[in-house]
Amino acid sequence: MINEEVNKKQEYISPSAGWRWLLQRVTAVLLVFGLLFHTFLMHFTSARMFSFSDVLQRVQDYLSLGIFYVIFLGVTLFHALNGFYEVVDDYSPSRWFKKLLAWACWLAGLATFAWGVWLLVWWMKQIR
Amino acid sequence: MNIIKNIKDLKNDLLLNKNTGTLAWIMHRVTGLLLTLYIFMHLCVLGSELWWGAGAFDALMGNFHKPVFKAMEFCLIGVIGYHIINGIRIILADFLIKTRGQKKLFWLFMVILAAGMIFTLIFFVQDILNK
Repeated sequence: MINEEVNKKQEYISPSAGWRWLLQRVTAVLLVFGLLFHTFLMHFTSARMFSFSDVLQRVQDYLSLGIFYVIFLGVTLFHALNGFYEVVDDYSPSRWFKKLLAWACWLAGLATFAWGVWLLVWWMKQIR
Repeated sequence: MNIIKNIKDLKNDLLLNKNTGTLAWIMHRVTGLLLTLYIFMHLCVLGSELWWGAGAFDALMGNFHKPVFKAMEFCLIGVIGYHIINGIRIILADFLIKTRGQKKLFWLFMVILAAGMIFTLIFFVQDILNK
């Protein structure tokens, strides 16, 4: 929708908008493969293993799976939070709101990522 | 930012601009927001084994084989499936200049998605019956 009032106000555009647009596409391509793998592993394989000891075994036996999940978590969080920011951004909030939201998204994303990595290390340290 | 006005605008966009692209865009947006909510819920629930311990974790995971959770899982697969397949369509249009065929591509992808969902349904029903 063309909103003339918005144009007059000279809407604030985040300086990183360009590379975030590209990164949203790059993470999308990575997520197609990552999410298909994760979904098939967790919902469609006949030998689904979900018990505490099964998860422990999986985490401790396959380091490559742990590395995959660290990357997968980071990529997913970026794509999800950047996507959320883009949706809100489309409705022309004020300059300060956009900046606040960007900070909140980065903070939430980084905190969740750090928690995820810490959790993985915790799983690895558990005695079977 | 007036949320009610924005929702009305969104509705008007859909009613005044009855194109395949508008439908695809709104659905991509809605599924994206749902998945963002889901990912944080997913991480909170499954990431809290730390203070639950093995017993409570196993009890929780046992619930997920119940039919009601299987139905929710089926919806989740649908939301993920739509977001993935429409995302592929967006990337094809953005980078491989397939904008001319984007409408046909949308319906082709919807057929593929429907086939995938039928497969999922059969797989899940078998899964429930085998438990």
